[in-house]
Amino acid sequence: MKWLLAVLVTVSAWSAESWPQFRGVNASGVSGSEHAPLRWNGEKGENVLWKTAIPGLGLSSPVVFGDRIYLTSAISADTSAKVKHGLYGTTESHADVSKHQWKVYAIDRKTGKIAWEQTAAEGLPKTKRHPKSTQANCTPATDGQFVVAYFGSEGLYVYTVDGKLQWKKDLGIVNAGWFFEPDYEWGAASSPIIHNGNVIVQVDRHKDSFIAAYRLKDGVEAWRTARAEIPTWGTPTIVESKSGVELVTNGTKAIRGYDPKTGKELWSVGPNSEITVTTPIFANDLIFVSNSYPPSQKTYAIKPGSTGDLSKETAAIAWSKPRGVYMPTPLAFQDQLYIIQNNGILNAYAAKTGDNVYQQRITQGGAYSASPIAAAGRLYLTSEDGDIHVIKAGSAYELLSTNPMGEVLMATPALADGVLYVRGMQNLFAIAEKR
Amino acid sequence: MKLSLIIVLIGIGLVAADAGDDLQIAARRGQLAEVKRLLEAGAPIESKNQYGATPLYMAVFNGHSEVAALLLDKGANPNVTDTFYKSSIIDSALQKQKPEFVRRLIAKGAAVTGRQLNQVIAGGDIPTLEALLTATLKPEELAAGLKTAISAKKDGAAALLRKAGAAEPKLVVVSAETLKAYAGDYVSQVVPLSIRVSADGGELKAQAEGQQQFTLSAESEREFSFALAGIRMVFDGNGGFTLHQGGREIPYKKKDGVK
Repeated sequence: MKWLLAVLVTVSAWSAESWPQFRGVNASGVSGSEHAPLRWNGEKGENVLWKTAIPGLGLSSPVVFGDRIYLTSAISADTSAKVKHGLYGTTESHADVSKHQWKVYAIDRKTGKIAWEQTAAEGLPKTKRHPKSTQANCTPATDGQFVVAYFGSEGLYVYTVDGKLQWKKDLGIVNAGWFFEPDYEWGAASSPIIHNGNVIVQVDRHKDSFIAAYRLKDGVEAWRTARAEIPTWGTPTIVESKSGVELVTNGTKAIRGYDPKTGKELWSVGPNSEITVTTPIFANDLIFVSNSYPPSQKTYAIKPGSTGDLSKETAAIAWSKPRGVYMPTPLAFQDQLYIIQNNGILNAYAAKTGDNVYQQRITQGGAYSASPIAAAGRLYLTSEDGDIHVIKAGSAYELLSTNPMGEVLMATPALADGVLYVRGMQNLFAIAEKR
Repeated sequence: MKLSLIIVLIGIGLVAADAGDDLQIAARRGQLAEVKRLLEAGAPIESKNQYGATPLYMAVFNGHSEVAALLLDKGANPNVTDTFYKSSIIDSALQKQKPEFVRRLIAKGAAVTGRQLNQVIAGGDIPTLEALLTATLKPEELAAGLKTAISAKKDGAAALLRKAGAAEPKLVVVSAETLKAYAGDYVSQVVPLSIRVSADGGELKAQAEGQQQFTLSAESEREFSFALAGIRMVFDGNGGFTLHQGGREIPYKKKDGVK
């Protein structure tokens, strides 16, 4: 009995906090940890619990559940193929269409050792990628029993947490790319989510876009709803409010709310940006969606529980701003909404009202594509150049620390039980300060 | 109208739409033989995609010269501007830096604007500038181009513009004291981008945060321009200026509030 109790305590300690999908629970980006690292050095190994090389290229984030971390990657036969980071604009696809392996990794949370790996798919990519993208952009999702990995045109895969393939599904060609010229393919990035025993995927492409739910245990389609959309890159979000449960998606024609049980569209707000990348979030009883590409570049705070076309219905829109953000998903934390622009300008707003709190450039220069996260009164802003800046949450800007990682950073980190999991271009790091 | 006739007419419309889509795809992919076949089969040469781009537009956009030449010879309109980026066929040809193709477009009636002229002057691409100058340009556009070339110290471009008949620009001289009064760091409540203005060697220069510095041309004592980026800065004499660019007017104030 004593021995059994000891095992139960150990397991429950590990399962105290999970980060089960892109940007954590319902993409909030907020960890409930009371402790979170302040200073570390990824280059020198200071406060680095472990560091594990991850083969190939991937911009998917790590997800955390129990004693495991799950991650995806894509290994090209062309080992010289790279991701070109930085602030630049190009619409053309990357030339690398050589043979790839699409991989799913399970990593021991304590040691960083790879517990198992699976090759989900192998072959020539069915669609190309942007130079700033990879063939593994979609973050996996897990409920502690299954792990869902999505690779766009290469398909949807569900494994048990022990690495056994449960089922897989070909969702067709997902040629997410430039709306203006469909042959300029950029790569899918919308991540799958798990809700009520279903995996939900948002498949937006030039034709025949849809959102669908498949039973997690066997892949049977629960529902599928056509979307009048062109390529988008945001992840769908479950919103649980006093009004009920909604599934909210970003999109070019419209931001939409659905019933996650049936896939029925409940409401929409549009028109929206021609390129939408960010993921909707819910906090302070408001749904926040932000975009920054013509023709509409707004940040919206939408009241949950609405129905119909909200485009002209101002009562359903608590507030809006004419300017939003292109890539990093906003963060709502401690009654403020934080938006980090691609060029490193941080805007803080009062979440309830949209009132400006402050605006600050983080550092001179630099590019930001990872989304911010927060814990223990701090914000973590990940720069492509390899630094993670820790900012004190609050009404005045205060930079607490700048922590070099020694490699390009484009994936959004995960944070659970006080440990920061950072995916660099070459390695996965676990960062924590000794307590 | 008889139902059968309506059905036939609708059917023809659908087939034409499909043929137009096919021509779009073939043109943007540079598939010359397929473009020929589709044109011979009657595909609508001016079919537009949802952003107003025609097959010729997409062929030039993707640099497919042979397909573009064929479409031009078959009478495709060279003056098409898309509805999203508001970019024209000539804009694409200029970006591709294909002077012979620019000449061909102009010979078929493509119009050229002062903005495009300034863009080519800035790029210093002499062969393309020579091609551009085969178009009919307004005297004021030529004069503005010469002013840009002189400001940017593009002597080769300036020589070509003078040869094309550009009038010498009138130089506006603003006192050093006035320029010094304009110098400072400016911020805007509208956009999160500060601008530093400095006076140096009798010239006013501006630099937006994180961007390269540029030299402004004086249009008057309070109005300055940077034609290459379509920028006008109009100082109010009260510690601020309005930035005009791309149809927008953005007010700026000196950061420290000092006039």
